[in-house]
Amino acid sequence: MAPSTNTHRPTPFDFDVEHRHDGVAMVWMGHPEEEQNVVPHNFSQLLNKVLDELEPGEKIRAIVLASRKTDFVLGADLEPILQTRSEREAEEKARDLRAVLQRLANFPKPVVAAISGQCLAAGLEIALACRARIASDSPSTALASSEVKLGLIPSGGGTQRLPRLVGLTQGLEMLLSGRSVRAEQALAMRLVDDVVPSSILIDVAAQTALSLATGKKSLRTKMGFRRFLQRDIILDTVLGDTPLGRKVIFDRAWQQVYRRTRGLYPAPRRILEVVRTGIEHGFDSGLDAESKVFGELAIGQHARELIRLSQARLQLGVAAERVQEDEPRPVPFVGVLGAGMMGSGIAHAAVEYANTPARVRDVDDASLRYGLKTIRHSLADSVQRQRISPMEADRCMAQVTTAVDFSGFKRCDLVFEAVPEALDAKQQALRDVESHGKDDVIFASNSAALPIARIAEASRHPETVVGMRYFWPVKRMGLLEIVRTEKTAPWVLATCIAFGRRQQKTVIVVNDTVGFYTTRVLTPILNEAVRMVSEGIPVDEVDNALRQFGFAIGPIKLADEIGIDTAHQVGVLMHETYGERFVLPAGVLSLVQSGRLGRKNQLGFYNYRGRRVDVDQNIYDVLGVSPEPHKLTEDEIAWRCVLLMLNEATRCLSEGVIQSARDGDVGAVLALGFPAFRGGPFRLIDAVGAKDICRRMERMQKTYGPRYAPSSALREIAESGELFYDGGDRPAPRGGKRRRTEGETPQPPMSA
Amino acid sequence: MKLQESGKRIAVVAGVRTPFAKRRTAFAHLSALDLAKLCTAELVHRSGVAPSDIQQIVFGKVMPSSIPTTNVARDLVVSLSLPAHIEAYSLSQACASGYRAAANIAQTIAAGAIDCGLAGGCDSASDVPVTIPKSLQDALGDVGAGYTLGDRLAALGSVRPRDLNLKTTGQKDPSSVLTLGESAEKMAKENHIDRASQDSFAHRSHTLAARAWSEGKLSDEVMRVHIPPDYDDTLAQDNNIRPESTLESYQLLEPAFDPHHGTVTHGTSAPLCDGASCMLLMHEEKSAALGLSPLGYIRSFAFAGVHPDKQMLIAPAYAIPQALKHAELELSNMDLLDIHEAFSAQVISLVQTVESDEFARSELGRNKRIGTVDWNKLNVNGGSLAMGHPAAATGGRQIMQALFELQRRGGEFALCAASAAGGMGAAMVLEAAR
Repeated sequence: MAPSTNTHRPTPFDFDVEHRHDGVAMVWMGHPEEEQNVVPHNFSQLLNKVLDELEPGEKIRAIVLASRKTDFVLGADLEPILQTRSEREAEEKARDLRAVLQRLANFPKPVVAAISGQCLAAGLEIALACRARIASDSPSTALASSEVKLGLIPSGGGTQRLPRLVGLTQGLEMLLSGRSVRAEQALAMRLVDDVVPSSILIDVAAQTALSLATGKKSLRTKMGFRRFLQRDIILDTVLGDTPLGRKVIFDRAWQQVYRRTRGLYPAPRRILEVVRTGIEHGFDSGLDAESKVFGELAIGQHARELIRLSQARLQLGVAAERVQEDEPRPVPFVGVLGAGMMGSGIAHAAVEYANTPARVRDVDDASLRYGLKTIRHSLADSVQRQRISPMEADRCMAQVTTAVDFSGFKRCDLVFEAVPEALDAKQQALRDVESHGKDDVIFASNSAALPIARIAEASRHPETVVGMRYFWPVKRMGLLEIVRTEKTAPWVLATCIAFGRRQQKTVIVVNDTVGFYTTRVLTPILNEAVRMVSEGIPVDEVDNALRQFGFAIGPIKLADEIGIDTAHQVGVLMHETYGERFVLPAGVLSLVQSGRLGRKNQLGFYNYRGRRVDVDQNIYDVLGVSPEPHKLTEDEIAWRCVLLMLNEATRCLSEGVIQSARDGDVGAVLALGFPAFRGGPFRLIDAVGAKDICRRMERMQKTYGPRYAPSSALREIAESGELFYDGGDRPAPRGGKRRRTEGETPQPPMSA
Repeated sequence: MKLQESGKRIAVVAGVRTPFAKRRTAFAHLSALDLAKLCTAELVHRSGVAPSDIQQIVFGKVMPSSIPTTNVARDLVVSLSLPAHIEAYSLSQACASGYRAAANIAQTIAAGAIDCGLAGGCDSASDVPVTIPKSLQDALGDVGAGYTLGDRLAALGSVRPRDLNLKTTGQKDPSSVLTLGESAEKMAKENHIDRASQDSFAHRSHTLAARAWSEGKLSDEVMRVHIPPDYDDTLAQDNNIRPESTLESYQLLEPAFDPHHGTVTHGTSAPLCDGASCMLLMHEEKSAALGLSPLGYIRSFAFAGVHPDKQMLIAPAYAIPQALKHAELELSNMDLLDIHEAFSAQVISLVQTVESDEFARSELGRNKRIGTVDWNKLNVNGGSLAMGHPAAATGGRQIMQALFELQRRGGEFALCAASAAGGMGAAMVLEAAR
């Protein structure tokens, strides 16, 4: 579901009826002034009006619903949902949509949906209410019940129609995951009745509608043997018809949902309830339950934060363009130095998403083979998820070439550096690229903490040096943090932003400082988590507390993934730069020295050697403590970490490292696994109240020391009673006001 | 064809090849197309030329393969996401395919139709499909074409046990009663080339090739291949070369084609291999305009044919004088000679013929021999006996090897030649970049 890009004006939407000579009325969706079809808040009135016109028409025998735009329907306009203030109001809106779709479903003249492009959320519900669905075989055709991703539930009867159409198991899977289904698979699961080339889409839909009008009941013709063999179909056939069997299916679905969300997100649980109600008490009861639950969820905090976050991501696209003071230059070729996890991830994103050939350089064959393997795996994963076909994967793979020298770098316009995090290594990479590459080659460093300006000291033309920080795993993490220095040229920044967006990343632009934004707000969490372990709090208690708070991964586990040595190295740099509030926990060095590097050598805080990954109980001996379970409450553990992050985030904003609270929020959620339903550090401060955050910090300051001293920015906002987001929905202008202008000297990093 | 006049030379802007791998070894699971893709992608990246500048791709491919393709050159354009406007075709002229591909691009450039093209060749001896006997193929065809079940059963009933004798496609030349090996055997006997000189020539080839690799001479023209799809291994060098072999070890081998009176062994025959090579060719003026520094130039080339029932592999002796004449040069002007080593016996026969006044008089109508071969300039970094012979890829290997060697020794001209099944031969005169 995508919101309209303009948040104030109601989305223009229109139906346009065209009468074909064969008695089919074409109902085209789309407004001439809009690029996309987004279901507006007055959709039910508009559709009712069209249906009123079509119902009496004697010459009209059947109806085809189609889109004038590239996509069918991208979902509903989200702004009216945010503006809804009461449960009842939201429920009413849901009932309106549901009623008009019910009318569509029972319309005396058969309605057939002709689907091309994306058919998401409310769009899928419209299609589901039609008597039949014909889809185009274009690769962009995708159907999804994506409401769950925004913490919502379908509101037009989708929870009832979808499981009835495709079977309980597959229906639940689509509703609970929000996953997109491509045309071919949609046909296999009978979500659509036929898949045809887009050139004949409308004609086939019209013929189908006419044959339904002449009384043909069903289009389901061949039920191939292969379809019968699908696991889900067998499950539905065996289990779907009996109460006991259905219980098995629901229980299984619930277990999966719980494993994924730890019960933190209400929407999946409610969807299960509603589907169950419909199956046990009938279609209409199901619809009633659906509308009611929609009302509850729509005004809940979870949905609001998730919707705002998705809007912020969209606005970021617009904002990133605004930062550009120059035109981006084309990037037909890229180079990547280092074929490790990051380098191969960047190369993969270049060939698969940005469709740009990549030349990967590393020092030896074994490293290059590792990189090629990693890229191959990522492509295979995309094939499995039906993002690309096996042939497209082969084409992407053929775009990657490798070298142990710098041959082929002459033609690269943009070279990414993903070499080890050490200043001399990075500077050597920079010198190599400049001596072997084009004169105006852009050097993009993937530095985790080392300031870009310091790396650029080795450059002959520092204006083409920039930071482009990806996050591991690059394929999954949606953020790209672009770091500009004082000297970075506008065209370089514009080119990097444009390329990052081609790699399908959400881009935030930050100013250069040690640790930039993401590392600066992450490091305190890692430090504090490890410190708690060295105080005797069990590893799993720490990780569970943060996961229960909503983080995607526990901080100790994350340290293992990053590599304890790398984290330590960055930690030392941060401590040197920012002083005591970044003080390293006792014992980290002993971990590194005892050869515990984390996942990469299979032993860190966790032991990765066995089949099951478990906390390594010897870790406490190495740290010289004995574990004391239940020393602190889950809440205390989580807030000990989170407060430090919030505090550092406010410093980043006031120092002008990030340009707005929105950038900080999107960055933390997309790069660091910050709980999405909490919106981000700044939204969390707004929600809890800056005063309250300050009080908590002062209390902790007394217990745990000066690193909990609230920043002046946080104090200021607590005293003034302002919010980071005015009116709750848009970033306040204060975020942007500290952006450095040319000629102004950068502020020295603050120390505690 | 004459190319040296009025800035008409054809620049070899860049070239690269895969290492050549013995059949069923490192590249056992790659098709000829896979090898061509690896090598072409590498060339495009290395050359620094924008893909949109490439106007034509011509690729040689000789051996049958399991991939269902009729035009491997066009498959390259599509599978490497090169600009769709690039015209592409594939050809086969047996072992001279690499020359023919380069010559076609050169001719098209010389004619003014294009100014930049990519010529290459690829073959996989590992991927040669197993074929079924013609009688079984006919029977299965009838089964498919039958209208009634009866027709089909009758067709199936005609299959006999001897029809189930599967084999890989042989190397027998349908245009001659002789296989290539037998033809080499014939040359050895008719030209009185003894076993010892054949063995020592093969030993020389392996020794020189091994030395070239150990001195790092070939690492600029040969890419390192990380072997897909698993990328568990890398092949960085030709793996057929036997650096440690002694002359005695060649003498131990049994004759391969005539068990009783033969002298040609597997040791003195080039093994069919897996590999690909390609070169970017450009109009001299265009290359200069783009500021590129070419490896060298193609100055002239010629092709010739003899009846395959005669000495099938002697055809280069007819092509060489023509190419030299087009180049307005003599054999003595050549700083390097690179002759494709299909068999020791064939190279030695060719040298004898080039040096024969008798041959010049009776066959070429000239009163003097073509020239004298200086063995110190012949195949100085080894040849196909050592490196192996992925049919269509060999021409490209020879041309690149000669151009790089010219650069190294500061020479001016090189002559490359190859004989091909069917009684054909190719010769090409190259000129160093100046």
